[in-house]
Parts: sequence; C-alpha cells; structure tokens
Amino acid sequence: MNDDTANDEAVNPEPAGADDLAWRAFRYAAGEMTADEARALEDQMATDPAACEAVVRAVQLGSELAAARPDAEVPATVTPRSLHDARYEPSHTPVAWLSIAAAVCVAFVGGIYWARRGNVAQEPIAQVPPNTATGPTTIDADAWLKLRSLEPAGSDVELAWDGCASEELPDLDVGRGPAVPTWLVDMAGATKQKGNP
Amino acid sequence: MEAEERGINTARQSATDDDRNRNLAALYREHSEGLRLLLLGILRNPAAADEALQQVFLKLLESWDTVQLATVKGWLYTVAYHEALAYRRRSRIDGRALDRLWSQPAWQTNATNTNPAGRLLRIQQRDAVRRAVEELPEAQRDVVQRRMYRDQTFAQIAAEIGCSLNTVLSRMRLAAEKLNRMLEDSQ
Repeated sequence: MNDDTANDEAVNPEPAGADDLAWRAFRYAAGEMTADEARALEDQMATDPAACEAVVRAVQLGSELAAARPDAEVPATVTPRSLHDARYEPSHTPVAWLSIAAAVCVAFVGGIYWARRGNVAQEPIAQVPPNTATGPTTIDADAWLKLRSLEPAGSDVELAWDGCASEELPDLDVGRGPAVPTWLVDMAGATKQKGNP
Repeated sequence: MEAEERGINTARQSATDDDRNRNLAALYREHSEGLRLLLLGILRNPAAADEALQQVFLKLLESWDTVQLATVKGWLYTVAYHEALAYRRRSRIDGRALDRLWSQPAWQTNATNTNPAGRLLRIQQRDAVRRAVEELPEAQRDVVQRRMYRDQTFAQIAAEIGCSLNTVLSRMRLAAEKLNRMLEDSQ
C-alpha cells in the first residue's frame, strides 16, 4: 500500500494530453468538478469531438462500476430471518395499506378490462362489418386475428394476407447493436409518407 | 406515358426510402449507445437523455439529404451536444440548478442501458468489472469502492483515510485508467 501511495504521488503532478482529458471527463461525469471547470469542459465539447468521446467513455466506465456495486443485484438465496423480523404487521406500516388499496384498484380495473375483452371475443365473426376497401384495413386485421385465433395450433392454412405484413414493414436489417426502437421506425415511416404523397 | 413515368418515380422513391431506412437503422445501432452516454453525461437524467436522443435522430431524418455518411458521426455528436444544451434551456436548468446538476454523477440512476439485448452482455461486463476492481492495488481499490460503491466524495474519502485530496484523486485516476483499458480490451 505504501508503494502504491508513493507511486500515486509521483504520478500525480499535472498530466497533459489525452490522459488529462480523460481524467477531466471522469471528474465531470462523477460530479466532482467546480462549475467553472464543468463549463470549460462543456465549451470544449462544442468544438472538440475528443472531449465528447472522453465524456462518453467516462460515463460508460462510471456506469459499469455503478452496475458492479455489490448491492446492485438481487441476492440469489433468501436467508432465513428471525421470527421477530419475519412477523408481518401491516397495521404498523401505512405504506402496506396503501399498497393493498392500490392492488385492489388494479385488480378491479383489470377485471373490468378482461370482462369486456371476454365479451368481444364471444362476438360471432359474422358481426364484423364487411370490408369495402381493396387492401387489408384495421377491420380486416381484426377479423383476420379472430380467424387465426380459431385455427388449431400448427394449422397450415394459408391466409391471403400472410405476406402483407413483411411488405409493409421497413426493410431494416437486424445485426449487432441495440434494436431499432419503434419510435425511429415510426419517424422513418412518417417521413416516407411525406415523401410519397 | 405520364402514369408510367409516375410509377417509375414512385418505385425509385421507394428504393431510396428503403436504402435510407437501412442506413438509418445501421447508424442507430452503431451510435445510439455512445450518443446516449454523452447525453446522460450532460443531462444526468435518463428520461431527458432518451428524449434528446429521439430529437437527434429526428434531426438526422430531416437533414438526411444533406448529411454525408462519411462525417455523420461527428454530425450526430455535435447535434446531440446542442440538443442537450437546448433541453437544459427549455427545462430552465441554469444558475444554481446547473451547479446542482454538475455536482451529481451521471450514473446516479443506474439506468444507463435500457437495451434488453444488452443485458446479458452487461452481466458479463459487470463480472469482468468486479474482477478488474479486485485486481487493483489495495489503495486504489479502496478509493474506487468508496467513491463508486459508497458514493463518498473525493474530499470525504481524503478526510476519512487521512491523506491529501491530491493523493485520493491520483489513486482514482490511476484506477480509472486501468479500468478504462480493461473495458476497451473487453469490447
């Protein structure tokens, strides 16, 4: 440890260059900078891509370290507690009562929702209004889904619209990296519609 | 004849849209994580970072015809930086609020990676980071654990372990450099 300390002191005096930038970025991301220093680094980021990249790396390192903290994960095993600790006394915890009330509300709303869904599912398919458009519409899709739900699992019946979905989706290749979010697909779709009136 | 021409133009436009969507998806996969980290660094708020990230890609779509693919990375980071500052202005984060913002760590919320596909990678990464921290010299490891796991400031650490702030900063700095190298190697 003493060797380390001696080493630290020797290395400490004002370093320069990329290392200095990385260290300033780390202190910036760690919230360990004065306002003036932070402002100066942000000003530098406006014109210096290396400063931006240093901040990216610093936030990444901090995030990795924060994610690695020992209390960041759920314990794999449940350790037995004493009877006293394990005794549940809801009357002593108002939060517990609130939680129970919230659970009852959620169950009630969920019950209504599922009851309505059940009614919809029992409607005969013949009640679906006839389609007047040439392509698959929302109503078509509903009817199609209902037909599909009536099919036995593994049925090899081919429906006429099976190929439509893939044609209408944007052709985005799936590769490495994060999945493309729906908002980006929506934005691209909206711009596409503007381009093709 | 006119209808035929219109049909050809529509087909061309459709092919262009497909190309654009493919490139857009590739750019998102390549740069979104880095951009989000930058935005998180500036805004210190995951929801705000996500919102700003959407704005960045919206701007990319709007400027698609003028942005060069060869220089798009720099373009994205510049736009992200300005989007973050604009977000702060809109949220009236200035003066003391800005001082408060700068005094909290960017990773405080522990929600920097919301990508489900990245979670498995993150578990592996977490184990690797833990091993790397364990391998640090004791003095550096102590500073890292106090700063990152117990949220002590460098000044508090210096006071508690009885050495100068300079020494604490130096240990953290050396540790950060080693851990950064380890992260780069593991990627």
